[in-house]
Amino acid sequence: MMDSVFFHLRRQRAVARTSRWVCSSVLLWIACAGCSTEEVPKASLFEDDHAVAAHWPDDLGDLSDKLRKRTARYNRSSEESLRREIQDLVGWVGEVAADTNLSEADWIPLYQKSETVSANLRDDDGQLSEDTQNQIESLCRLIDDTISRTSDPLASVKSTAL
Amino acid sequence: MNQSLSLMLTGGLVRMVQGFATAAPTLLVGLLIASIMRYYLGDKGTRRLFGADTMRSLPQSWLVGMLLPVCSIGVLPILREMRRAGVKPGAMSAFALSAPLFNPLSLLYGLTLSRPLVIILFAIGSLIIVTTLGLVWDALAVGTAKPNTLSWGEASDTDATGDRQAGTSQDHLIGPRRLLATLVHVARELTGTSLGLTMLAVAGLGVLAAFLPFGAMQHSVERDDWLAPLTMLGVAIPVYATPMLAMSQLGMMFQHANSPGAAFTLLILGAGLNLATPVWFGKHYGFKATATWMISLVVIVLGISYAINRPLIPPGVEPAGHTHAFDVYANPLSVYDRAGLTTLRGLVTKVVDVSMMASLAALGLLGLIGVWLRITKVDEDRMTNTASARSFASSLTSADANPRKGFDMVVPPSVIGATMLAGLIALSGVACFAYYPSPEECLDEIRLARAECLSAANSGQVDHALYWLPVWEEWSRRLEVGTFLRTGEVRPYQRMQSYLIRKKLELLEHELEHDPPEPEEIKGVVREILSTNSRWVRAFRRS
Repeated sequence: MMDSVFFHLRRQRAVARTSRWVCSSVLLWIACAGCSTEEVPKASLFEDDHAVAAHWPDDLGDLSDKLRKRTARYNRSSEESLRREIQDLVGWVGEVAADTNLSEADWIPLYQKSETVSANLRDDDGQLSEDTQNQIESLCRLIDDTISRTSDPLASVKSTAL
Repeated sequence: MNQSLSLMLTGGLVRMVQGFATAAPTLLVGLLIASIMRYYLGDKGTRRLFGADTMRSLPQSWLVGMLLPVCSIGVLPILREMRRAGVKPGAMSAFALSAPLFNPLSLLYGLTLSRPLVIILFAIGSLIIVTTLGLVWDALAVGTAKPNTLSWGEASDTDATGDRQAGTSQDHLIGPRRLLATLVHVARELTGTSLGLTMLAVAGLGVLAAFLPFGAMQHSVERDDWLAPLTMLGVAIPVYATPMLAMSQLGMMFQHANSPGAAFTLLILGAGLNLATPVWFGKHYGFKATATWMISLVVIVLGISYAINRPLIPPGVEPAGHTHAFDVYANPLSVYDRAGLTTLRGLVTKVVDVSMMASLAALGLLGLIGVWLRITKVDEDRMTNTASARSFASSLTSADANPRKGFDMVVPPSVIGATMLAGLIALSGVACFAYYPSPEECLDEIRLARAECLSAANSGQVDHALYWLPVWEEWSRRLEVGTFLRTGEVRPYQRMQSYLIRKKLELLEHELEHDPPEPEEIKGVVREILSTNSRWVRAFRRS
């Protein structure tokens, strides 16, 4: 019986403590919110535009051109940064091609080829093997053929970089 | 950026209210499941649902968790019921962690991410984690757990069961009295321990928002940042995220080429846990054992995060340099905003949709009933003790019972309970088709959102454009899932066009939020979006 009374007393005290804490917090918030009524000038917090890589291509033709130039330079210097840029460019083929007026039927071979070359580049273990270089050249030729085959000049319009 | 105290408090309060509103639908489902376990499945049925003492209990609990549509808050009343039923602690840990990670809706959403394989790998990763932790937890909790020994805080809530206390332990309530007892249980749970745990869970969001200034995480967790999983760890533990929110954040992280390891940490610790989960485990199994469990969890999650960090970087995606995926965890108010009730109301109503409003209304009604029940001291015990003999299952088989013919048979409660749970799972399957409608319907909705967004952007109505832009973005995801559900595939071209439209919509969002606005830039982006949109729509119309 006594235990039960003490239990209830303890519980009542705990409830009272919690209520006091909640009331104080609400009052503190109202007081603080009430203090800051002065107007502040609006300014943007979204000034950070998406970063665009320096080697992002202007269009499909530019992509093919950039790939060839970097492959040639890599053969002379074997710079790791060049290999990474080649990897990026190959990875962007699908996106850049999809952002033109190419039909889905024309887009699919480009996409599939770039996926294959990307996989080979990943498997090359930091190198650019002769076989992969041949595949890159083959991808470039496919891009050039696709651009020349399509009657729509918009096929090589500038792609959008964000 | 220095924040005033009022800004910190208002921001924290906004995030807590938003968190509660977001949790409302899954909390309601969690309370319902807990009651079904108590009054229909019963202790034995509940233990069987989670694999009882068999070897398969951990993967089975993981699978049940994957199927039931609850979040890390909705899982708490279920955990209480599991413990009361004597489910093994390891199985409870497996269920507690896996249930909030995925549900059918969020899993389908996840399949529209840049590489669906990633989500499948994440699901397998979660199975490894819950199995390992379950084994650890079973070993740790053996000496500390006291099944069915209740602490004082729970005494009034959990002593009562649907079983008749004296002598006839097999007997149980049936008919309207059982339905009434279910209602009493849900209402009292909602106004008792579950409410306290829910408030503790959303308090984590409040604390984070108070201490993280507006946009503080925009440059965090980049893919080349080796500290990214660790940074995410600091944020993810106090975070409460619904499965859909976590999945959409994963989508944004992969679109922006953020760290995949950080994405995994966010999924497991952000969606899988909240502040109340370890507190609840600590209270019932000892804080020392819970600390060991938490440390094991963190070590395993970090280990997997660092292991997958490089291999899962999506190829061909250019890092954006920043992200808005985690803006929802920082203060919603910038130093340029005013802290006040109008701002608070505006920010809360912005995130509340129809399902949340309906759930909040239901919770409000149940809450009022719960308060009344507590004032009048009516509990589940009273439902059992004051029931007439006809309200018990034994009355159906007693000597003076009416003879039963044909289909008028006694259905065991476990069958009814299992049917209810299966119905709930089937309902979430049906909900997938309703939430992700056919491509034609999605394209109709997109047409409306596009017209509103682009005309507002061109005419300088920034707020209107910013309202419709996320609607458009959301429908672009639903279009992909709706197509997948009905045709069994999303072609790479469709996937790529969807990626492009979302990328350009984000660029438009940036342009719209520049201050002062640059109308020519906005019109340029709108033109780009129109070209992409026509290709995107054509890709899906053909299917």
